[in-house]
Amino acid sequence: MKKIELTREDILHLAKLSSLKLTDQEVEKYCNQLGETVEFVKNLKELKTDVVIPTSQITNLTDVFFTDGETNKRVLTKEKATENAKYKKEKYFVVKRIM
Amino acid sequence: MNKLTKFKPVIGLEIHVELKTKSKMFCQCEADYFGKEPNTNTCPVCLGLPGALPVPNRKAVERTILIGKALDCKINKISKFDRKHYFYPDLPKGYQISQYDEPIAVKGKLSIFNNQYSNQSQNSNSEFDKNFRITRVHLEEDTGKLLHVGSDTLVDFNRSGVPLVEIVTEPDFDNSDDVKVFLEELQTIIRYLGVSDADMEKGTMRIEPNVSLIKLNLLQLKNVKRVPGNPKGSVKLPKYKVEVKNINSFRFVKDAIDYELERQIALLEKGITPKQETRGYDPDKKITFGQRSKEEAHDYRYFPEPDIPPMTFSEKFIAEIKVPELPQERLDRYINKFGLREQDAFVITRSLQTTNYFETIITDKVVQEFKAKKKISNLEDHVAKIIINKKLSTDLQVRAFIKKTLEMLQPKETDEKLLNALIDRLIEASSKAVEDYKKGKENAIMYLVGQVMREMKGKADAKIIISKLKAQISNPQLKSKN
Repeated sequence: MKKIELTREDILHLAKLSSLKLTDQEVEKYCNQLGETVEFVKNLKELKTDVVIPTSQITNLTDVFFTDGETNKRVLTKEKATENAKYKKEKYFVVKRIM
Repeated sequence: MNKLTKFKPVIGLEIHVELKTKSKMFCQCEADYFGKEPNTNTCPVCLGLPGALPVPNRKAVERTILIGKALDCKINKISKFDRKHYFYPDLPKGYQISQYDEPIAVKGKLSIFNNQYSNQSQNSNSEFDKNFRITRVHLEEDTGKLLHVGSDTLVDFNRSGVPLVEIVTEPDFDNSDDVKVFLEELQTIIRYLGVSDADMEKGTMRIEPNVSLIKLNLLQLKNVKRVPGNPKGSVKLPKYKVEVKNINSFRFVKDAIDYELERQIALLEKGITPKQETRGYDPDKKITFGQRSKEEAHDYRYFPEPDIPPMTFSEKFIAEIKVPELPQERLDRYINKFGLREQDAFVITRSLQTTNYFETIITDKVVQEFKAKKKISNLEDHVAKIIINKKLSTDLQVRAFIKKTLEMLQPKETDEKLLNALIDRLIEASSKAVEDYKKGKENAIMYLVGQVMREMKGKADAKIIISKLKAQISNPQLKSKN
Protein backbone atom coordinates (compact mmCIF):
# COMPACT_ATOMS: atom_id res chain seq x y z
CA MET A 1 0.00 0.00 0.00
CA LYS A 2 1.26 3.44 -0.88
CA LYS A 3 1.96 5.44 2.19
CA ILE A 4 1.34 9.03 3.22
CA GLU A 5 4.59 10.50 4.43
CA LEU A 6 4.14 11.93 7.90
CA THR A 7 7.10 13.89 9.20
CA ARG A 8 8.57 13.76 12.70
CA GLU A 9 7.13 17.23 13.24
CA ASP A 10 3.64 16.05 12.31
CA ILE A 11 3.83 13.28 14.88
CA LEU A 12 5.22 15.55 17.58
CA HIS A 13 2.48 18.10 16.91
CA LEU A 14 -0.22 15.44 17.15
CA ALA A 15 1.37 14.07 20.31
CA LYS A 16 1.29 17.51 21.84
CA LEU A 17 -2.38 18.03 20.95
CA SER A 18 -3.15 14.60 22.39
CA SER A 19 -1.10 15.26 25.50
CA LEU A 20 1.07 12.22 24.84
CA LYS A 21 4.75 11.81 25.62
CA LEU A 22 6.49 9.75 22.95
CA THR A 23 9.96 8.23 22.92
CA ASP A 24 12.13 8.62 19.82
CA GLN A 25 11.41 5.03 18.76
CA GLU A 26 7.68 5.61 19.13
CA VAL A 27 7.84 8.73 17.00
CA GLU A 28 9.58 6.69 14.32
CA LYS A 29 6.98 3.90 14.64
CA TYR A 30 4.01 6.25 14.46
CA CYS A 31 5.43 8.02 11.41
CA ASN A 32 4.94 4.69 9.61
CA GLN A 33 1.80 3.39 11.30
CA LEU A 34 -0.20 6.59 11.24
CA GLY A 35 0.81 7.16 7.65
CA GLU A 36 -0.66 3.79 6.74
CA THR A 37 -3.83 4.56 8.68
CA VAL A 38 -4.38 7.87 6.96
CA GLU A 39 -3.75 6.20 3.62
CA PHE A 40 -6.38 3.59 4.46
CA VAL A 41 -8.95 6.23 5.34
CA LYS A 42 -8.32 7.69 1.91
CA ASN A 43 -10.34 4.75 0.56
CA LEU A 44 -13.38 6.87 1.35
CA LYS A 45 -12.45 9.00 -1.61
CA GLU A 46 -13.56 6.16 -3.90
CA LEU A 47 -17.17 6.76 -2.85
CA LYS A 48 -19.25 8.96 -5.08
CA THR A 49 -20.36 11.78 -2.86
CA ASP A 50 -21.15 14.54 -5.34
CA VAL A 51 -24.92 14.03 -5.00
CA VAL A 52 -24.88 13.56 -1.24
CA ILE A 53 -25.77 16.54 0.96
CA PRO A 54 -23.17 17.06 3.66
CA THR A 55 -24.46 16.45 7.17
CA SER A 56 -23.14 16.26 10.66
CA GLN A 57 -26.29 14.52 11.89
CA ILE A 58 -27.75 11.13 11.14
CA THR A 59 -30.78 11.16 13.43
CA ASN A 60 -32.89 13.62 11.42
CA LEU A 61 -33.82 15.28 14.69
CA THR A 62 -33.82 19.03 15.23
CA ASP A 63 -34.50 21.31 18.17
CA VAL A 64 -34.08 18.97 21.09
CA PHE A 65 -34.15 21.07 24.25
CA PHE A 66 -34.95 20.78 27.91
CA THR A 67 -36.88 23.30 30.00
CA ASP A 68 -34.84 25.45 32.35
CA GLY A 69 -35.30 24.44 35.99
CA GLU A 70 -36.38 20.83 35.28
CA THR A 71 -35.81 18.42 38.16
CA ASN A 72 -32.32 17.07 38.21
CA LYS A 73 -32.50 13.30 38.29
CA ARG A 74 -28.83 12.73 37.64
CA VAL A 75 -27.08 14.91 40.22
CA LEU A 76 -24.21 13.13 41.93
CA THR A 77 -23.25 13.39 45.56
CA LYS A 78 -19.73 14.72 46.13
CA GLU A 79 -18.67 11.24 47.19
CA LYS A 80 -20.06 9.73 43.99
CA ALA A 81 -18.63 12.53 41.85
CA THR A 82 -15.05 11.96 42.95
CA GLU A 83 -15.41 8.23 43.58
CA ASN A 84 -13.40 7.03 40.60
CA ALA A 85 -10.80 9.76 40.60
CA LYS A 86 -7.25 8.54 40.94
CA TYR A 87 -6.13 11.64 42.80
CA LYS A 88 -8.38 13.62 45.07
CA LYS A 89 -8.04 15.85 48.08
CA GLU A 90 -11.04 16.46 50.30
CA LYS A 91 -13.76 17.30 47.77
CA TYR A 92 -11.48 18.24 44.91
CA PHE A 93 -10.09 16.40 41.95
CA VAL A 94 -6.33 16.86 41.93
CA VAL A 95 -3.83 17.18 39.09
CA LYS A 96 -0.17 18.16 39.11
CA ARG A 97 0.12 21.92 39.46
CA ILE A 98 -0.26 23.48 36.03
CA MET A 99 0.87 27.06 36.63
CA MET B 1 0.87 59.28 23.46
CA ASN B 2 2.14 61.22 20.46
CA LYS B 3 3.89 58.08 19.23
CA LEU B 4 0.46 57.12 17.97
CA THR B 5 1.01 59.41 15.02
CA LYS B 6 3.23 56.68 13.58
CA PHE B 7 1.18 53.68 14.68
CA LYS B 8 -2.53 53.08 14.82
CA PRO B 9 -3.87 50.84 17.60
CA VAL B 10 -6.08 47.99 16.42
CA ILE B 11 -8.15 46.63 19.31
CA GLY B 12 -10.89 44.01 19.35
CA LEU B 13 -12.80 42.49 22.24
CA GLU B 14 -13.95 39.06 23.32
CA ILE B 15 -16.54 39.27 26.06
CA HIS B 16 -17.87 36.32 28.04
CA VAL B 17 -21.10 36.59 29.97
CA GLU B 18 -22.43 33.84 32.21
CA LEU B 19 -26.19 33.48 31.83
CA LYS B 20 -28.37 33.53 34.91
CA THR B 21 -30.51 30.47 34.25
CA LYS B 22 -31.78 27.97 36.78
CA SER B 23 -30.12 24.98 35.12
CA LYS B 24 -26.78 24.54 33.42
CA MET B 25 -26.37 24.62 29.64
CA PHE B 26 -26.58 20.90 28.84
CA CYS B 27 -27.82 19.27 32.04
CA GLN B 28 -30.22 19.95 34.89
CA CYS B 29 -27.58 20.77 37.50
CA GLU B 30 -28.01 24.19 39.10
CA ALA B 31 -26.36 27.03 37.22
CA ASP B 32 -25.82 28.93 40.48
CA TYR B 33 -22.53 27.56 41.76
CA PHE B 34 -21.58 30.44 44.11
CA GLY B 35 -20.60 29.43 47.61
CA LYS B 36 -21.32 25.73 47.03
CA GLU B 37 -19.09 23.01 48.41
CA PRO B 38 -16.72 21.80 45.68
CA ASN B 39 -18.06 19.13 43.33
CA THR B 40 -21.52 19.00 44.88
CA ASN B 41 -23.24 20.42 41.80
CA THR B 42 -22.32 17.89 39.13
CA CYS B 43 -23.74 15.04 37.11
CA PRO B 44 -22.41 12.67 34.44
CA VAL B 45 -22.95 15.34 31.73
CA CYS B 46 -21.01 18.22 33.29
CA LEU B 47 -18.33 15.87 34.61
CA GLY B 48 -17.86 14.63 31.06
CA LEU B 49 -18.36 10.97 31.94
CA PRO B 50 -18.36 8.65 28.92
CA GLY B 51 -21.74 8.11 27.33
CA ALA B 52 -23.52 11.03 29.00
CA LEU B 53 -25.64 12.94 26.51
CA PRO B 54 -25.88 16.75 26.56
CA VAL B 55 -29.25 18.40 25.81
CA PRO B 56 -29.38 22.20 25.33
CA ASN B 57 -31.29 24.43 27.75
CA ARG B 58 -33.99 26.24 25.76
CA LYS B 59 -33.94 29.30 28.03
CA ALA B 60 -30.19 29.76 27.49
CA VAL B 61 -30.71 29.64 23.72
CA GLU B 62 -33.55 32.19 23.91
CA ARG B 63 -31.45 34.51 26.05
CA THR B 64 -28.59 34.35 23.59
CA ILE B 65 -31.01 35.30 20.82
CA LEU B 66 -32.20 38.18 23.03
CA ILE B 67 -28.63 39.44 23.46
CA GLY B 68 -28.11 39.10 19.71
CA LYS B 69 -31.23 41.13 18.99
CA ALA B 70 -30.28 43.82 21.53
CA LEU B 71 -26.95 44.14 19.72
CA ASP B 72 -28.63 44.54 16.36
CA CYS B 73 -27.44 41.17 15.11
CA LYS B 74 -28.80 38.96 12.42
CA ILE B 75 -30.18 35.81 14.06
CA ASN B 76 -29.25 32.71 12.11
CA LYS B 77 -32.23 30.55 11.17
CA ILE B 78 -30.11 27.44 11.60
CA SER B 79 -27.54 27.11 14.30
CA LYS B 80 -25.55 24.23 15.75
CA PHE B 81 -23.01 23.36 18.40
CA ASP B 82 -19.44 22.31 17.75
CA ARG B 83 -16.71 20.67 19.76
CA LYS B 84 -13.62 22.73 20.47
CA HIS B 85 -10.76 20.52 21.58
CA TYR B 86 -8.01 21.27 23.98
CA PHE B 87 -6.56 19.65 27.07
CA TYR B 88 -6.81 21.51 30.32
CA PRO B 89 -7.80 20.15 33.71
CA ASP B 90 -10.86 22.45 33.95
CA LEU B 91 -12.36 20.81 30.88
CA PRO B 92 -13.35 17.25 31.72
CA LYS B 93 -14.40 16.06 28.25
CA GLY B 94 -11.22 17.20 26.52
CA TYR B 95 -13.40 19.53 24.46
CA GLN B 96 -15.75 22.40 25.10
CA ILE B 97 -19.18 22.44 23.50
CA SER B 98 -19.17 25.78 21.69
CA GLN B 99 -20.25 27.18 18.35
CA TYR B 100 -17.99 27.56 15.35
CA ASP B 101 -19.36 28.30 11.90
CA GLU B 102 -23.08 28.61 12.65
CA PRO B 103 -23.33 30.80 15.74
CA ILE B 104 -26.71 31.98 16.99
CA ALA B 105 -26.19 35.63 16.04
CA VAL B 106 -23.87 37.51 13.68
CA LYS B 107 -23.14 40.96 12.27
CA GLY B 108 -24.44 43.36 14.88
CA LYS B 109 -23.37 46.73 16.16
CA LEU B 110 -23.33 48.79 19.31
CA SER B 111 -23.13 52.57 19.35
CA ILE B 112 -21.65 54.46 22.21
CA PHE B 113 -21.52 58.09 23.09
CA ASN B 114 -18.15 58.90 24.58
CA ASN B 115 -18.72 61.96 26.77
CA GLN B 116 -15.06 62.21 27.51
CA TYR B 117 -14.29 63.43 24.04
CA SER B 118 -17.26 65.70 23.82
CA ASN B 119 -16.04 67.53 26.92
CA GLN B 120 -12.69 68.13 25.36
CA SER B 121 -14.12 69.64 22.24
CA GLN B 122 -17.18 71.64 21.35
CA ASN B 123 -18.07 69.68 18.25
CA SER B 124 -21.59 68.51 17.63
CA ASN B 125 -22.75 65.40 19.45
CA SER B 126 -23.15 63.20 16.42
CA GLU B 127 -19.41 63.32 15.89
CA PHE B 128 -18.94 61.34 19.08
CA ASP B 129 -21.60 58.73 18.49
CA LYS B 130 -19.42 55.80 17.56
CA ASN B 131 -20.40 52.53 16.02
CA PHE B 132 -18.60 49.33 16.83
CA ARG B 133 -19.32 46.20 14.85
CA ILE B 134 -20.24 42.97 16.61
CA THR B 135 -18.86 39.98 14.74
CA ARG B 136 -20.85 37.28 16.48
CA VAL B 137 -22.72 36.20 19.58
CA HIS B 138 -22.52 32.50 20.38
CA LEU B 139 -23.38 30.11 23.16
CA GLU B 140 -21.05 27.68 24.91
CA GLU B 141 -20.42 26.07 28.29
CA ASP B 142 -18.26 27.37 31.10
CA THR B 143 -15.37 25.31 32.44
CA GLY B 144 -14.59 24.13 35.96
CA LYS B 145 -12.61 26.19 38.46
CA LEU B 146 -8.97 25.63 39.26
CA LEU B 147 -7.24 26.32 42.54
CA HIS B 148 -3.46 26.18 42.65
CA VAL B 149 -2.17 25.00 46.00
CA GLY B 150 1.44 23.96 46.60
CA SER B 151 2.37 21.35 44.02
CA ASP B 152 -1.28 20.58 43.29
CA THR B 153 -3.97 22.05 41.12
CA LEU B 154 -7.41 21.39 42.61
CA VAL B 155 -10.41 21.07 40.33
CA ASP B 156 -14.00 21.96 41.17
CA PHE B 157 -16.59 21.20 38.49
CA ASN B 158 -19.54 23.05 40.05
CA ARG B 159 -19.19 25.76 37.36
CA SER B 160 -18.60 23.26 34.58
CA GLY B 161 -21.40 23.51 32.02
CA VAL B 162 -22.89 26.84 33.14
CA PRO B 163 -24.22 28.66 30.05
CA LEU B 164 -21.69 31.14 28.73
CA VAL B 165 -22.32 33.65 25.95
CA GLU B 166 -19.37 34.89 23.95
CA ILE B 167 -19.63 38.27 22.25
CA VAL B 168 -16.90 39.10 19.74
CA THR B 169 -16.32 42.54 18.24
CA GLU B 170 -14.50 43.52 15.08
CA PRO B 171 -11.11 45.17 15.76
CA ASP B 172 -12.75 48.58 15.48
CA PHE B 173 -11.32 50.26 18.57
CA ASP B 174 -8.30 52.52 18.41
CA ASN B 175 -8.15 53.71 22.02
CA SER B 176 -8.77 52.34 25.49
CA ASP B 177 -11.28 55.07 26.46
CA ASP B 178 -13.75 53.92 23.84
CA VAL B 179 -13.26 50.33 25.00
CA LYS B 180 -14.17 51.28 28.56
CA VAL B 181 -17.27 53.25 27.53
CA PHE B 182 -18.31 50.42 25.19
CA LEU B 183 -17.97 47.82 27.94
CA GLU B 184 -19.95 49.92 30.41
CA GLU B 185 -22.72 50.32 27.84
CA LEU B 186 -22.69 46.59 27.05
CA GLN B 187 -22.80 45.68 30.74
CA THR B 188 -25.76 48.01 31.27
CA ILE B 189 -27.58 46.47 28.30
CA ILE B 190 -26.97 42.92 29.56
CA ARG B 191 -28.38 43.92 32.94
CA TYR B 192 -31.42 45.61 31.36
CA LEU B 193 -32.07 42.36 29.50
CA GLY B 194 -32.08 40.56 32.86
CA VAL B 195 -30.02 37.69 31.46
CA SER B 196 -26.93 38.00 33.67
CA ASP B 197 -25.46 39.94 36.60
CA ALA B 198 -22.55 40.75 34.28
CA ASP B 199 -20.36 41.21 37.34
CA MET B 200 -16.65 41.58 36.56
CA GLU B 201 -15.51 40.85 40.09
CA LYS B 202 -17.57 37.70 40.44
CA GLY B 203 -16.44 36.61 37.00
CA THR B 204 -19.91 36.49 35.47
CA MET B 205 -18.53 38.97 32.91
CA ARG B 206 -14.99 38.53 31.55
CA ILE B 207 -13.10 40.60 29.00
CA GLU B 208 -10.26 39.59 26.74
CA PRO B 209 -9.01 42.48 24.66
CA ASN B 210 -6.72 41.71 21.74
CA VAL B 211 -4.31 44.46 21.02
CA SER B 212 -1.96 45.24 18.15
CA LEU B 213 -0.62 48.20 16.22
CA ILE B 214 -0.23 48.93 12.57
CA LYS B 215 2.45 51.18 11.20
CA LEU B 216 1.05 54.01 9.16
CA ASN B 217 2.74 55.30 6.05
CA LEU B 218 2.67 58.97 5.19
CA LEU B 219 -0.26 58.67 2.83
CA GLN B 220 -2.35 56.86 5.41
CA LEU B 221 -1.43 59.39 8.06
CA LYS B 222 -3.31 62.02 6.14
CA ASN B 223 -6.36 59.86 5.61
CA VAL B 224 -6.83 58.04 8.88
CA LYS B 225 -9.31 59.71 11.11
CA ARG B 226 -10.31 58.62 14.60
CA VAL B 227 -13.58 57.24 13.39
CA PRO B 228 -13.79 53.56 14.23
CA GLY B 229 -16.17 51.31 12.43
CA ASN B 230 -15.73 53.33 9.30
CA PRO B 231 -14.23 51.04 6.67
CA LYS B 232 -12.95 54.01 4.69
CA GLY B 233 -10.86 55.11 7.63
CA SER B 234 -9.61 51.64 8.44
CA VAL B 235 -6.28 50.23 7.45
CA LYS B 236 -4.96 46.74 6.85
CA LEU B 237 -4.78 44.59 9.97
CA PRO B 238 -1.45 43.87 11.67
CA LYS B 239 0.18 40.46 11.24
CA TYR B 240 0.08 39.65 14.95
CA LYS B 241 -2.21 40.14 17.89
CA VAL B 242 -1.74 39.94 21.62
CA GLU B 243 -4.59 38.72 23.75
CA VAL B 244 -4.79 39.81 27.40
CA LYS B 245 -6.61 37.62 29.90
CA ASN B 246 -7.53 37.58 33.59
CA ILE B 247 -8.75 41.16 33.92
CA ASN B 248 -11.45 41.73 36.50
CA SER B 249 -12.45 45.39 36.15
CA PHE B 250 -13.10 47.86 33.33
CA ARG B 251 -10.45 50.14 34.79
CA PHE B 252 -7.91 47.31 34.48
CA VAL B 253 -9.01 46.61 30.90
CA LYS B 254 -8.13 50.20 30.06
CA ASP B 255 -4.83 50.06 31.95
CA ALA B 256 -3.90 46.72 30.37
CA ILE B 257 -4.57 48.06 26.87
CA ASP B 258 -2.57 51.23 27.53
CA TYR B 259 0.32 49.18 28.88
CA GLU B 260 0.22 46.85 25.87
CA LEU B 261 0.22 49.75 23.42
CA GLU B 262 3.30 51.26 25.10
CA ARG B 263 5.06 47.90 25.23
CA GLN B 264 4.34 47.09 21.60
CA ILE B 265 5.31 50.55 20.35
CA ALA B 266 8.68 50.21 22.09
CA LEU B 267 9.23 46.91 20.25
CA LEU B 268 7.96 48.19 16.91
CA GLU B 269 10.21 51.23 17.08
CA LYS B 270 13.18 48.87 17.40
CA GLY B 271 11.91 47.09 14.32
CA ILE B 272 10.70 44.03 16.26
CA THR B 273 7.28 42.55 15.59
CA PRO B 274 5.66 41.69 18.93
CA LYS B 275 5.14 37.97 19.51
CA GLN B 276 1.64 36.63 18.95
CA GLU B 277 0.69 35.41 22.42
CA THR B 278 -1.70 35.39 25.35
CA ARG B 279 -0.66 37.59 28.24
CA GLY B 280 -1.95 37.95 31.77
CA TYR B 281 -2.51 41.22 33.60
CA ASP B 282 -1.08 42.14 37.00
CA PRO B 283 -3.16 45.01 38.42
CA ASP B 284 -0.71 45.71 41.26
CA LYS B 285 2.26 46.24 38.99
CA LYS B 286 0.02 47.51 36.16
CA ILE B 287 1.81 45.32 33.65
CA THR B 288 1.00 42.44 31.35
CA PHE B 289 3.14 39.32 31.34
CA GLY B 290 3.64 36.39 29.00
CA GLN B 291 1.60 33.28 29.87
CA ARG B 292 2.06 29.73 28.79
CA SER B 293 -0.80 29.46 26.37
CA LYS B 294 -3.41 26.74 26.55
CA GLU B 295 -3.09 25.61 22.98
CA GLU B 296 -0.25 27.36 21.30
CA ALA B 297 -1.11 26.13 17.87
CA HIS B 298 -4.74 27.21 18.25
CA ASP B 299 -5.43 23.88 16.72
CA TYR B 300 -8.81 23.29 18.22
CA ARG B 301 -9.95 20.73 15.63
CA TYR B 302 -13.52 21.98 15.66
CA PHE B 303 -16.17 19.61 14.40
CA PRO B 304 -19.98 19.51 14.71
CA GLU B 305 -21.20 18.16 18.05
CA PRO B 306 -22.72 14.82 16.96
CA ASP B 307 -24.73 14.45 20.18
CA ILE B 308 -26.82 17.59 19.69
CA PRO B 309 -29.16 17.97 16.73
CA PRO B 310 -29.13 21.35 14.96
CA MET B 311 -31.43 24.16 16.10
CA THR B 312 -33.86 25.87 13.76
CA PHE B 313 -35.49 29.18 14.53
CA SER B 314 -38.59 30.37 12.72
CA GLU B 315 -39.27 34.06 12.03
CA LYS B 316 -42.14 33.83 14.49
CA PHE B 317 -39.98 32.33 17.22
CA ILE B 318 -37.34 35.02 16.79
CA ALA B 319 -39.97 37.79 16.70
CA GLU B 320 -41.53 36.59 19.94
CA ILE B 321 -38.29 37.20 21.81
CA LYS B 322 -38.83 40.84 22.71
CA VAL B 323 -36.06 43.30 23.51
CA PRO B 324 -37.09 45.61 26.37
CA GLU B 325 -36.36 49.34 26.43
CA LEU B 326 -32.56 49.64 26.37
CA PRO B 327 -30.51 52.19 28.35
CA GLN B 328 -29.92 54.50 25.39
CA GLU B 329 -33.65 54.59 24.52
CA ARG B 330 -34.55 55.20 28.12
CA LEU B 331 -32.01 58.03 28.35
CA ASP B 332 -33.50 59.65 25.26
CA ARG B 333 -37.00 59.32 26.71
CA TYR B 334 -35.96 60.97 29.97
CA ILE B 335 -34.41 63.87 28.08
CA ASN B 336 -37.20 64.34 25.55
CA LYS B 337 -40.26 63.56 27.63
CA PHE B 338 -39.25 64.75 31.09
CA GLY B 339 -36.73 67.44 30.20
CA LEU B 340 -33.94 65.87 32.23
CA ARG B 341 -30.43 67.15 31.64
CA GLU B 342 -28.35 64.61 29.76
CA GLN B 343 -25.97 64.09 32.69
CA ASP B 344 -28.89 63.44 35.03
CA ALA B 345 -30.62 61.06 32.63
CA PHE B 346 -27.28 59.25 32.25
CA VAL B 347 -26.79 58.82 36.00
CA ILE B 348 -30.34 57.54 36.48
CA THR B 349 -30.23 55.07 33.58
CA ARG B 350 -26.83 53.55 34.42
CA SER B 351 -28.18 51.30 37.14
CA LEU B 352 -31.20 49.16 36.41
CA GLN B 353 -32.15 49.31 40.07
CA THR B 354 -32.08 53.12 40.13
CA THR B 355 -33.95 53.58 36.87
CA ASN B 356 -36.62 51.08 37.88
CA TYR B 357 -37.02 52.80 41.25
CA PHE B 358 -37.33 56.15 39.44
CA GLU B 359 -39.96 54.65 37.11
CA THR B 360 -41.94 53.29 40.06
CA ILE B 361 -41.96 56.70 41.76
CA ILE B 362 -42.91 58.83 38.77
CA THR B 363 -45.63 56.49 37.53
CA ASP B 364 -47.18 56.11 40.98
CA LYS B 365 -50.84 57.16 41.07
CA VAL B 366 -50.42 59.43 44.09
CA VAL B 367 -47.42 61.16 42.49
CA GLN B 368 -49.25 61.60 39.19
CA GLU B 369 -52.30 63.12 40.95
CA PHE B 370 -50.04 65.44 42.94
CA LYS B 371 -48.33 66.51 39.72
CA ALA B 372 -51.67 67.33 38.05
CA LYS B 373 -53.15 69.09 41.07
CA LYS B 374 -50.15 71.25 41.84
CA LYS B 375 -49.31 71.77 38.17
CA ILE B 376 -45.66 70.75 38.60
CA SER B 377 -44.79 70.06 34.99
CA ASN B 378 -41.15 69.16 35.74
CA LEU B 379 -41.93 66.81 38.60
CA GLU B 380 -39.89 63.99 37.02
CA ASP B 381 -36.86 66.26 36.92
CA HIS B 382 -37.33 67.08 40.62
CA VAL B 383 -37.53 63.38 41.48
CA ALA B 384 -34.42 62.68 39.38
CA LYS B 385 -32.49 65.39 41.22
CA ILE B 386 -33.67 64.11 44.61
CA ILE B 387 -32.25 60.70 43.68
CA ILE B 388 -29.03 61.99 42.11
CA ASN B 389 -28.22 64.46 44.91
CA LYS B 390 -29.07 61.72 47.42
CA LYS B 391 -31.56 63.97 49.21
CA LEU B 392 -33.48 60.77 49.75
CA SER B 393 -32.06 57.25 49.63
CA THR B 394 -33.39 54.80 47.06
CA ASP B 395 -33.11 52.20 49.83
CA LEU B 396 -36.29 53.73 51.25
CA GLN B 397 -39.56 51.87 50.79
CA VAL B 398 -41.39 53.33 47.80
CA ARG B 399 -44.27 54.68 49.94
CA ALA B 400 -41.89 56.45 52.34
CA PHE B 401 -39.90 57.91 49.45
CA ILE B 402 -43.07 59.23 47.83
CA LYS B 403 -44.34 60.76 51.07
CA LYS B 404 -41.09 62.62 51.68
CA THR B 405 -40.77 63.66 48.05
CA LEU B 406 -44.23 65.19 48.00
CA GLU B 407 -43.43 67.10 51.19
CA MET B 408 -40.31 68.47 49.55
CA LEU B 409 -42.16 69.41 46.40
CA GLN B 410 -45.11 71.02 48.21
CA PRO B 411 -45.13 74.63 46.96
CA LYS B 412 -44.19 76.98 49.80
CA GLU B 413 -47.22 78.93 50.92
CA THR B 414 -46.22 82.25 52.40
CA ASP B 415 -48.18 83.97 55.14
CA GLU B 416 -48.14 87.45 53.56
CA LYS B 417 -49.22 89.42 56.62
CA LEU B 418 -46.76 87.78 58.92
CA LEU B 419 -43.99 88.18 56.35
CA ASN B 420 -44.63 91.92 55.81
CA ALA B 421 -44.63 92.64 59.53
CA LEU B 422 -41.47 90.62 60.00
CA ILE B 423 -39.66 92.40 57.18
CA ASP B 424 -40.56 95.83 58.56
CA ARG B 425 -39.35 94.83 62.00
CA LEU B 426 -36.11 93.37 60.71
CA ILE B 427 -35.25 96.36 58.56
CA GLU B 428 -35.65 98.59 61.59
CA ALA B 429 -33.56 96.29 63.74
CA SER B 430 -30.76 95.69 61.26
CA SER B 431 -29.78 99.17 60.20
CA LYS B 432 -26.16 98.11 59.59
CA ALA B 433 -27.13 95.53 56.98
CA VAL B 434 -29.61 97.94 55.42
CA GLU B 435 -26.95 100.63 55.14
CA ASP B 436 -24.44 98.19 53.67
CA TYR B 437 -26.98 97.17 51.08
CA LYS B 438 -27.75 100.77 50.20
CA LYS B 439 -24.02 101.37 49.74
CA GLY B 440 -24.08 98.69 47.09
CA LYS B 441 -23.15 95.57 49.06
CA GLU B 442 -25.61 93.27 47.33
CA ASN B 443 -24.68 90.41 49.63
CA ALA B 444 -25.89 92.25 52.71
CA ILE B 445 -29.44 91.45 51.74
CA MET B 446 -28.75 87.75 52.08
CA TYR B 447 -28.16 88.27 55.78
CA LEU B 448 -31.67 89.69 56.03
CA VAL B 449 -33.10 86.86 53.96
CA GLY B 450 -31.52 84.40 56.35
CA GLN B 451 -33.05 86.18 59.32
CA VAL B 452 -36.51 86.16 57.74
CA MET B 453 -36.22 82.48 56.82
CA ARG B 454 -35.27 81.62 60.37
CA GLU B 455 -38.22 83.49 61.82
CA MET B 456 -40.60 81.96 59.29
CA LYS B 457 -39.11 78.50 59.97
CA GLY B 458 -38.46 78.07 56.26
CA LYS B 459 -42.11 78.51 55.35
CA ALA B 460 -41.51 81.26 52.85
CA ASP B 461 -40.20 81.51 49.33
CA ALA B 462 -36.72 83.02 49.22
CA LYS B 463 -37.44 84.87 45.97
CA ILE B 464 -40.48 86.55 47.44
CA ILE B 465 -38.52 87.57 50.54
CA ILE B 466 -35.76 89.14 48.47
CA SER B 467 -38.15 91.16 46.33
CA LYS B 468 -40.11 92.31 49.37
CA LEU B 469 -36.92 93.27 51.20
CA LYS B 470 -35.65 95.23 48.24
CA ALA B 471 -38.99 97.01 47.87
CA GLN B 472 -39.16 97.94 51.51
CA ILE B 473 -35.57 99.18 51.74
CA SER B 474 -36.09 101.52 48.81
CA ASN B 475 -39.48 102.61 50.16
CA PRO B 476 -39.35 106.47 50.64
CA GLN B 477 -41.44 106.26 53.80
CA LEU B 478 -38.80 104.13 55.41
CA LYS B 479 -36.04 106.40 54.19
CA SER B 480 -37.57 109.41 55.86
CA LYS B 481 -37.63 107.49 59.11
CA ASN B 482 -33.86 107.08 58.98
